[in-house]
Amino acid sequence: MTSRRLLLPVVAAAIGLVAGALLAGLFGARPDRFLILLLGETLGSGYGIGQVLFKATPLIFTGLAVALPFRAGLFNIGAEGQMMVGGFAMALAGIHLASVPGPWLWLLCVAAAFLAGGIWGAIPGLLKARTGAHEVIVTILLNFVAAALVNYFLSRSYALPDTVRTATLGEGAWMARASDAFGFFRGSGLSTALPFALAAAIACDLLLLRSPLGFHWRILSGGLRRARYARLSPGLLSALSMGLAGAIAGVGSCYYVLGYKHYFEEGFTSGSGHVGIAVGLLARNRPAAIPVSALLFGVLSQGGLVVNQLVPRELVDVIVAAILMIFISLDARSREGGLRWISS
Amino acid sequence: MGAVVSFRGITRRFGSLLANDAISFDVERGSVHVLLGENGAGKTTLLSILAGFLRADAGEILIDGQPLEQGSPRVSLRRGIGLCAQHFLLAGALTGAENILLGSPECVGLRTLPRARLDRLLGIARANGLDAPLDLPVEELSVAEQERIEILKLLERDCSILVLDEPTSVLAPSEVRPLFATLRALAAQGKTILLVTHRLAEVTEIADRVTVLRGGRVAGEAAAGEIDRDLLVRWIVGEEIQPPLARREARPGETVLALRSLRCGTGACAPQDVSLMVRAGEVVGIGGVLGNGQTEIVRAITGQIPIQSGEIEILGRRWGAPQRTRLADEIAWIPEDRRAEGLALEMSCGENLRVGLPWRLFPGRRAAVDLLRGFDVRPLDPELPAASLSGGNQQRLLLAREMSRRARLLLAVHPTRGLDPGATAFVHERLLAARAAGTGILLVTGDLAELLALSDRIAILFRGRVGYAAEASGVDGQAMNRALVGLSP
Repeated sequence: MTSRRLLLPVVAAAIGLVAGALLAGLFGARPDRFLILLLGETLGSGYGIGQVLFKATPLIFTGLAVALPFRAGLFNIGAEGQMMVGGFAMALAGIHLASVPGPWLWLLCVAAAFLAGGIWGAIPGLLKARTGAHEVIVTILLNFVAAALVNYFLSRSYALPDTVRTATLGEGAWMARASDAFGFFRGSGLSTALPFALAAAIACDLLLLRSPLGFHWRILSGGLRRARYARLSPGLLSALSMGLAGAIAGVGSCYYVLGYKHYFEEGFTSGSGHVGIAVGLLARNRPAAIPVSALLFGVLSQGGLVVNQLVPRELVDVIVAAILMIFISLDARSREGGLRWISS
Repeated sequence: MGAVVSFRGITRRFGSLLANDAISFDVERGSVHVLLGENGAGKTTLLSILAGFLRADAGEILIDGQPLEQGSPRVSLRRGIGLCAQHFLLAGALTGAENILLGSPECVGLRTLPRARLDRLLGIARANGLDAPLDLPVEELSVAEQERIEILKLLERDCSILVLDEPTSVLAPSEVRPLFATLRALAAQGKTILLVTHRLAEVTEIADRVTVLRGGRVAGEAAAGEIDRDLLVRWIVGEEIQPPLARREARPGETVLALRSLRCGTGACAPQDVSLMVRAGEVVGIGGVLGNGQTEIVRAITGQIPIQSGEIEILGRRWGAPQRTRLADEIAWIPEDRRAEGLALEMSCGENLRVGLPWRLFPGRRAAVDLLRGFDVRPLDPELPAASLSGGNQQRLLLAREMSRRARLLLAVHPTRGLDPGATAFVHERLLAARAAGTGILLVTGDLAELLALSDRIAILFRGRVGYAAEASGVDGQAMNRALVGLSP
């Protein structure tokens, strides 16, 4: 059972990569060269590894922001907007409170992102509880609202002239870059946001599987009748779950705002919120498995840049889609018992 | 005349539940054949097998003497079998005509229905007195009109065997008569009608022959002339006498649950003016053919639907219209549907011992194992997902948790449904043990034998009203049977 849980995503990834290599052949590239380039340039050098981990960091946060509500029966498509709102609040705290010393400023920035993302995330949960509005629709729409709102305030009050970025945050809020301590990672954007993300994943795993709150979420995932039977308040639980998800996505912006550029810039999320859905899916929405899943997507994300010299980088998106489809169909079949050869 | 449909030893199992157990009977051509039985008696399963939605584990169906290939709705339809399901299978946004012709090969573009087909359809409708607007979206039609659309659909496809699953349950009495007239006329044309109903009065009105199912078996059969209502009731609710359970005399204490003139829910069978009381240390049983308001009463007591009028008092706390109750932790509840409500099947047995409990009552690891052992849940492994247990063991698991509350009030809703005799006896024993320990129990069951064996007092519901109430020691069997089918004592 356990071995199958681990094996299936690996099998899916391997088949997806091979399929991608064969597709690369259609573009005139040699499949073996494609694979060597893709894996060599990402996992074969300090810079490559650093970049992979750097790109995986926000995906851990957004993956968690999808997985937690999913385990409560809710589908959070809004991690993108939640990360954006959180990141903006984080930057505002870091700019306005720049004089606050050392770790305290960092804490304030993270708290601001947590609150802003949390409130933004709780809206669909509350709407669902109050009016029955479906969280998928609401979160999708809120993504656009978030982008519009943030860009409005950015361009009106906070953007430096002729840019779409804010001023730099106070130094007390910065997270240490990995390349400062280890020359091995030179040039990559990797920072202490990664261990922070790993800690968040472990905390979420404990919350979901070991705490009464997580237990109640998992009961809720079985439907309203079951939740009512168990004397729970579905509305409160939904709002809490979506709120926490939003908070996590919001805090996730630290990989960029605190750990990389040290300012807020329009479009810094670059789709992390949406990829987070795939990250959660591949990890079967188990928080502890999310970092591994995020790592794979980090490889592919960075790999897209390096294979661009051979084939269009969009080919990597095809690989991502292939992996997901293979995984989903293998997973569904294995549940029906059709894949015993893999489990044994 | 001859058998157009012959069921031969149809057997179908769902997990541990034997839904159809070697069912055999014949349906004559050109007759109206009524299938009776409680919910869960196996009627819908049998009809689904006939219509090709399910496959029997054993047995065969002969149509005009030729075996029917099972498991394919297409094949069943080709053999002339048309099913009008209990819950209509209509696309609400499409018109009646579109719904009827949906799925016909030549009707790909739905907006351009072939004129000839439409004319034929109108002809069929007129000839059979099935007038319903064919050019309006069906969601705008009344239930009776939707039903006519469903029947038209079957006639349009030249079905010769019309299977109707509870066609009258959603109709007003004034709408039932024209439907029956249509069915009679169709039978006279040589069509065969297989009809499910819960209303006994309708049986004498329309049936040429009646077959009663109970617990997945044929409990009895009768032709039109020999239909005896009391006999039908005995077939439906069962008459097997079980050895009386050993139980001590009730020593009722304070009132733990009281319903006063309760009205709640919607529909023809919604509870009306229901009053009853449960005291500590006694079992009060609500009986009756299923679907007569039992579910609504439980839903009102458990706060899932609001009170419309009257009052509910639980453990001294009172609620009136339009409130919903809130269940305290000292109330145990064995729900009607253990799979969708009572248990989290994907979770482990250990976790299931915590579902619905406040944190302070969560059993620890050792306590969990003790509980599972005490209720003989097999296999004894708190890590095992509840889904992997048999139905009987799932119910033991649920019972273990709810009994661990040491509740003052226990709601036991169909506590032994789908269980084998061994598990049933176990559940009965535990319920009586809780009663002896001073718990007040409200038992809801469709099983008359169970009702009489466990209850200190009983109330029989019919169409939402208490038709008969008595101390269990002084039950008048004749009066109770009459109340079950809505006749005054």
